[in-house]
Amino acid sequence: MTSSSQAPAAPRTATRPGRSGRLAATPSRRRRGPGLAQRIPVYVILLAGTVLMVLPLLWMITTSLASTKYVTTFPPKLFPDTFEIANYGRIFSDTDLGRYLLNSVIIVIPSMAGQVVASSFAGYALARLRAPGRRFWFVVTLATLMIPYEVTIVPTFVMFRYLGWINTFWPLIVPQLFGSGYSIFLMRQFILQIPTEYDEAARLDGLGYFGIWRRIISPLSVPAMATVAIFTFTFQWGNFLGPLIYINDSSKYPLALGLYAMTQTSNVGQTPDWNLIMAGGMLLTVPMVMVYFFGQRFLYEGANALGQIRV
Amino acid sequence: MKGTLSGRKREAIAFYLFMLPWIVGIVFLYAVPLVASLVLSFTNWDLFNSPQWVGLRNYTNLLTGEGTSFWLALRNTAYYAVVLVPLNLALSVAFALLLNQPIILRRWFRTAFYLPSTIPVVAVVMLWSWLLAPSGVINSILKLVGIGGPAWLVDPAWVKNGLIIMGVWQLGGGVVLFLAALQSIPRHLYEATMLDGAGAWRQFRAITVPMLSPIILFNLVNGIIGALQVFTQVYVVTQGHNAGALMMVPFLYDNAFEFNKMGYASAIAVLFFVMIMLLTLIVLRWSRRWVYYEGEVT
Amino acid sequence: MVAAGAAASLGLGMTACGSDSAQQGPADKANLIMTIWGSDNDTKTYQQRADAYTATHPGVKVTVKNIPVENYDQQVDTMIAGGSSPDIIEVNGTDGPALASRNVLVDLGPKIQSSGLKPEDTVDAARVKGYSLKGKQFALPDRGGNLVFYYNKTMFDKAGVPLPKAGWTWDQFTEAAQKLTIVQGGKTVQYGVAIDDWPNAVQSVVRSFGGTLLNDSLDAPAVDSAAYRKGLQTYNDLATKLKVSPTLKDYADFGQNVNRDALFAQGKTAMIWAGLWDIPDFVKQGLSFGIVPPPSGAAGNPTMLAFGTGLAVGARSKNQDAAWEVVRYMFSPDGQRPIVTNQEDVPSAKALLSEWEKGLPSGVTYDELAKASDQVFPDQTPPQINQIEKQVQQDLYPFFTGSATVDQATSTAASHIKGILAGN
Repeated sequence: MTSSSQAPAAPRTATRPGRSGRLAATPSRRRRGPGLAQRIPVYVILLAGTVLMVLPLLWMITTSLASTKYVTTFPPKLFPDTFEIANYGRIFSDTDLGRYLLNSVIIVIPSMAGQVVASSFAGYALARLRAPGRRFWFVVTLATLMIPYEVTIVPTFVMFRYLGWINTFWPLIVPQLFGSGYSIFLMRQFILQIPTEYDEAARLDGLGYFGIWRRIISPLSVPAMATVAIFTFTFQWGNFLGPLIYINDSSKYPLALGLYAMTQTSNVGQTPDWNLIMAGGMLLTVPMVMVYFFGQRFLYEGANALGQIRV
Repeated sequence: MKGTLSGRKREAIAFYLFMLPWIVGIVFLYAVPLVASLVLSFTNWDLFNSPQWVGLRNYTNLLTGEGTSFWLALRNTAYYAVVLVPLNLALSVAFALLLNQPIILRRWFRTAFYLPSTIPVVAVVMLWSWLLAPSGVINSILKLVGIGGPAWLVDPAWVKNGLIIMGVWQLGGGVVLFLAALQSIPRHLYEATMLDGAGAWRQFRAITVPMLSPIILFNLVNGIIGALQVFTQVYVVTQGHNAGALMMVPFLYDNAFEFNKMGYASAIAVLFFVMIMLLTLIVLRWSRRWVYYEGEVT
Repeated sequence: MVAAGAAASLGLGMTACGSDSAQQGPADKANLIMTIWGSDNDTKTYQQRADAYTATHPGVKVTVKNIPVENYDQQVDTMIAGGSSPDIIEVNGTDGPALASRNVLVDLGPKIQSSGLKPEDTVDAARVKGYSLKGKQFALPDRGGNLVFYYNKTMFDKAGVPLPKAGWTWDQFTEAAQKLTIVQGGKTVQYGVAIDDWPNAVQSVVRSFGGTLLNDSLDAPAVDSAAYRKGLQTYNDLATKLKVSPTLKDYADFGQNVNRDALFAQGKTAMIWAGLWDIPDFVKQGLSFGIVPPPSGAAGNPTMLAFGTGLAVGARSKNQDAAWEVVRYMFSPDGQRPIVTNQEDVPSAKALLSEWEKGLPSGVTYDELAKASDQVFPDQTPPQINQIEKQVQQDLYPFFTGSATVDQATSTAASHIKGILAGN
């Protein structure tokens, strides 16, 4: 929103209906409005909001580095007096978090790969290939977005039990290999924006549909694929209910479930203290933050594709 | 158009080949389980012995049986959704509007808001059970202003509010989506109304809101569905011990995987599914009155 | 088409349930899985006993799997449902009947008979009965203690309070608790006692006031009886009125999963209700403590819930014969000896009791408890006891956090129990 309400009447004369039909830029001084005075409240609110968002995270970090003595006193002081990086070593040596981390990695990577490929296939088909029933399948795809997951957990459990996959990673990975409504929708929207001239040019070069997908569409849809990969990573990395249902062996727990299990030990002397739990929480969080950090631009482009929801 | 198969036919075959994984997924991960849930809900089955057909008994037990927890779970879930979703929506839009102003360090602010939403739920719960402990940081701060804070995650009367606080903290995803949408609203729309002397509020109502409305609808529907199906936070905070936080999916989980009452749990799933569908349809219907799609002739 | 697919998958699911008479492996060559819960000491002890069997039967190896107690029932169920049923399953009085009523535990009766074993020779007949449901013996008692009462000697001596002994009354107990609660600068630095809503302690206290969860014929709730309510209220008053114990709110301050056992181990409370399995942990912490029967709400009432755990054989196991032989060995006094030597718990075998008492850490004697053996009472065990206990714990929770009165909470619990017993 611009601060146009404050714009004096003068702009009229400064207006030059330009070739582009848009108002030509008013002198930059004016464009920035009456300066700081009006925008101080904006900054104040944003700062307050930022503090509320970031401070808990900061506490998590400082607590993860705190000594055991600090975390067992109440009420906790704002910042501990000592910082023990050794805590991060301890979570690997004293607990099974390292193992849980490995399990998570094993689950997440095939999931991401599978989702990207499957949703790219389906998105391409829905965006580019004409066929009887295309509209039907698109509507059905949208419909799956509406199906709440809880109505499928019991039967899918029964199905995986029949396949003998209980207590393995398969029930967590395999569903990702078929695509998901959300990812496919995203891919379709994005691919729709790729000009069809590219396809036609490729066709003239003798490429078939698969070739077009591989050489033209895929490279051009990397931002959308990255978005799908990020969403899949986000889902699988923090997935709790799935592992809770399917995995019995504590050595096979992925990180989210493992962190929780760690806090539920029945060893009386061994309940981990807050500082170790927070360190474990950091272990769970940092990869997510890194993925976001490096994948930011894709997320925004992907979000823009969503912004033009066209059915 | 060369080749023995007509071009159209080849395209159609290609379509179905590309769609094959997803179609298989639709059938086995959505369609079949959906029907299976319905069928199961009419049986009593404990996973070991053969299922027994009981007709509508699971439903009558759920809805009217003695000591049924269904209505409690529904009330709790509804409270959680009704408070959290509008709150998140309003705050997300507000922050996005603020972030859309010409300010410096926008990227940093935006990152600050988005960061909490990247944190996995289990870690969020660990962090907030520490912050929301009865003598924890939040209550200490409240004490400074003379308010005696409740036992946020322990007291059955307050545990939902504690969960809502956690949910609001993670609203960053919405902020990002709204910000992206705001930034793609063509400038000329605003500038055109500026010439008419329109004020900021008028611009908001006449341009911003309609242009944002598809995204608002998207977030609203997603938010509702997500809030109604909350599980992980509830389970990790209460492990099912706190009746004040009994929500639909934990209720379903307990019956399916702790008590092995697969038929009963399926009835819960079906009922809940129908409710979500109805709610979504109502929202979508209602949305026709205020959602503006570009390209529509008004 | 979709419906047919659904029906087909259900049908397949049903047949995949498997039949009990799956191919059985030989009794002398097998790799067995045994599921347990508990501490590292528990794992160590079970493995030791299993290895002792392997030493004399080299073809049979047993792997002990420790499952977190919060998820034990659910994970064992999933293992069985997933087709990899454990061969030997540790059970107790609550999950045992539930599993047995679903026919996933082998009825050991025939095996006991054909092997000529007489369980009553080894353990108390009452204990054996505790693991039978509708005439079927679904497990053999393994270790058993009961709920007891711990007190911290150092704190008692320092405060000059006479040590508890068998037959001490509730009033004597509250007096002691008040003397042992130390408040400094507005904060309680030492609690006289630490209570929470742990169902076993609740049941024991309430029973000593004359209340039970269900009526005698196990077909209706008794949780809303006057006796039960009085017991519950008096118990919780320790925390809320007399302030000699932390409330559930206070526990949330102490950290994740810090409960009454942890408080005692950390030297923050003078008394707790707990099981005998805590002894090694407290010894490790260097505490000077004693164990006695808990105080009784009314003279002559039982105060100590008998728990025990038993060992069962999975009905879906493919090595039932081998598993049975291991269970049989572990049931014998020789097989139970490591329970004593590792100070894990009280063995079920009568022959080992005196050895066990000798093995108690110095300063801890079983004398007072021996005097009160009539105060031990068994759990009520309808098949739905598992669901009932979980539901009741959930229903009493608001009472413990102060948001419901005792009448409200127990009435809710009663109506839930009625529903569960009705097959809800």
